[in-house]
Amino acid sequence: MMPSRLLRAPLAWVLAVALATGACAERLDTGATCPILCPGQTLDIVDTVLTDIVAVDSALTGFPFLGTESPMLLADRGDSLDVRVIIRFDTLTRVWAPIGDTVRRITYLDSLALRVQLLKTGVPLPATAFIDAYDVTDTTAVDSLPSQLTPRFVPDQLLGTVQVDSAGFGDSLTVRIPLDTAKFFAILADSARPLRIGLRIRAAGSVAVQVRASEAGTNGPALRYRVSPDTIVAVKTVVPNSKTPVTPAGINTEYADYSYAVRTPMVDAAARLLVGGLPGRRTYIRFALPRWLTDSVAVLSARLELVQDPLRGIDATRSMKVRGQLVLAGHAMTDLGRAARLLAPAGTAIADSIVTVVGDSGVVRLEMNGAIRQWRTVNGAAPFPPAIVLRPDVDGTDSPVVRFFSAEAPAAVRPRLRISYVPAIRYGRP
Amino acid sequence: MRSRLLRATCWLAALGPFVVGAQGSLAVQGYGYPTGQLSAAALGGGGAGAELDPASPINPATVASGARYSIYSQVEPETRRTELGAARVSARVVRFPIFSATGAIGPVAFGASFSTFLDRTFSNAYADSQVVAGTLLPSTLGAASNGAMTDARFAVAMQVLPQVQVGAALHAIVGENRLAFGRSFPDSSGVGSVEQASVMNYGGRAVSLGIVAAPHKSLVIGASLRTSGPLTVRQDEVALAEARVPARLGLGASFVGIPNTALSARIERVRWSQMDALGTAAMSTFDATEIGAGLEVAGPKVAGIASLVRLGVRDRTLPFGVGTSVVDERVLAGGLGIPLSRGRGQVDLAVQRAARRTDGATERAWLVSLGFGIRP
Repeated sequence: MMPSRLLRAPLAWVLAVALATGACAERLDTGATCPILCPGQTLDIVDTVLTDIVAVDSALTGFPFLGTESPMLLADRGDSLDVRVIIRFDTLTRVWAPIGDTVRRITYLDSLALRVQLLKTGVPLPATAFIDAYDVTDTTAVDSLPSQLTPRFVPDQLLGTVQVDSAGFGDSLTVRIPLDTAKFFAILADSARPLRIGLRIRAAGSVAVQVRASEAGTNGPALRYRVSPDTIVAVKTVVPNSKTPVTPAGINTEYADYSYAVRTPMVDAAARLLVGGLPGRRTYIRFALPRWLTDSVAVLSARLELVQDPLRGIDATRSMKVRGQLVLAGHAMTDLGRAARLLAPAGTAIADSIVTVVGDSGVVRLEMNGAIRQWRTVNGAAPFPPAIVLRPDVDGTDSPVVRFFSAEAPAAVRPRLRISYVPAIRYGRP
Repeated sequence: MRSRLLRATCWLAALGPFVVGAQGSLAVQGYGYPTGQLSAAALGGGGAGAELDPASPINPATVASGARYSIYSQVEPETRRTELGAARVSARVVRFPIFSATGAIGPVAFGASFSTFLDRTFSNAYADSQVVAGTLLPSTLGAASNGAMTDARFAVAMQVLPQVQVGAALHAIVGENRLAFGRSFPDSSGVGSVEQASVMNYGGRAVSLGIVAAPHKSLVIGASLRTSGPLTVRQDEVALAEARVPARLGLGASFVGIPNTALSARIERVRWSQMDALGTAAMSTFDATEIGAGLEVAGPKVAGIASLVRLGVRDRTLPFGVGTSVVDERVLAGGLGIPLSRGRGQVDLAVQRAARRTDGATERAWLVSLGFGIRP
């Protein structure tokens, strides 16, 4: 009996210990006695400023492509800025069918109006403003060119006007611009004739709003009219569409509505970089960085410092956000305008942005240590050039422009890079 | 007896949930914690019998003492609590410090073993602040290491006289530490984090000689010597430093004149300072003297074979200090040796209570060593 009990007891003991030992799990979460008992875990951080870091910089215009701006700026700011909106209705509804009857031409028109949704900009609205709608159709001209369009904003071509009051204008306001029924009948009568409407805003003083583009779907522009006194018959709604240009294929859809600048402030200057405004501008900067910076050190902070050149014009007191985006165009892409469109998504690699007032001067900074890490070479070559693009939050939809000194400016105001880095991490040897 | 065993089992179970260790401890300074390369049987007796123990891969002559063929492995969890001023850290690490196999061809016994030489397993993360571009920023610093230097030994031994065994062994110091290190900053600061993942590899060699003799029927003496060979460390395949494998000299004796009892003592000297060049100037290295004394008595029989009960004490200094201060370690140990399968197997259990101390900091640890030996 005794040996049996002794046999069972030690085995149970061993089993229990084995189970307790086997249940042990490592969990690494201490540090309360650091740094005293954790030597060698400090990092030497070097702060320095790199100058002459720009290989190429250029202000590029034409952003976005015509017709893709959304929303569209509509502004009249005295001698400085005149921006108008074109809305094309190249296909109009010219016939209708009474319920249970045959299709027939439209002979009755009522409630004819162009409906647009307006948005506020940073420019204070005057108490009263007017939006005029003109028939700017000219199928014989390349009517996307400002020189062809602007002469058609004449009283003879006026289709209708609406008054916009600042009272009751919240963040947005939908207005109906009543159009001349007789002129519209004449347009409908010519079955081949499109209708291209130009909008112009005017007020006693400076005025600027944005018009929702057709990209906004049901909030975009629409032509609406009744074709029967019978209210059971649905209101005809025509949305913008364009049949031209025919090449390249598909681009005509972008031309359904767009804004164009008749007059813009003079902001160009030598040795300057521009971001924003109309036509939309972006700045392309390709860096000439030392290899050690991208390959050999751990960068904690890399702030691009730009010296802002103040613009004292119409938007001097307005603030603007400038984003930095990584250029993904490869080395083979030599067209900077195209390279400036092949960008990493906003917030990728460069999460920072510059918020500045147009009329301010001084140094602004953009944190781009994430970009520096992207430019690390692999087998001696970087996958794409070390370049970024500075762009507004939304291209081509508002007038503020910020201006910076370029690499061709005097040395004191050229772009520079303020970096903090760890020369080499060699943790491990106690 | 059974109630005591039950209490011990409950105590062991109560150790969990476990928290694992960090460099922020006294044991894991420098290149890590020296396990001593002692078996559970030797540890249970304060390490006093290690020079005569075939399962402890330090004296190659003991290989001839074992059975014709044997396999031995050991697991050794350690739970420790470090106190530094008001800061207290509980930690836990699990080691597998020894695996060995022995055999014999004719009169020559041979053995191969892998034993943990210096265990450098830790992880820590703590908050501090760092000046970046002239701005003081909060940051989190983290460091972790996993791995150890391992002593891979091949030993041969034989009985040259009825009371004398001699042995020799080749040692290869191998192994790696997988390291992760980094500092991160709040996203809102816009400052990037830095990280390093690297591997440190070790390469060294040494030779050891040993002898076990019984000059008197009541006395068994063992002695061994490990020479100093080159020891190098590489980090990510880049040579980092070169030093020497620390030389070791050990001497142990057991008095077996009392029936069913063995009284043992051992002294060992390791010249850890020979490793000093392997570290930076900030690493302090101290030669260590280890003294152990222990008692082993026959316990209750299991399947007709007596089990063994062990008690011992051990005192040593650790090779790597904190700053310029040496770390002392004192251990009280107890253990059991339980034969299984009519002596073809053996389970050895050792429980150690270690107290480590240096200027301004103390550390207490429980180490449970469980060794499994098979003699097919």
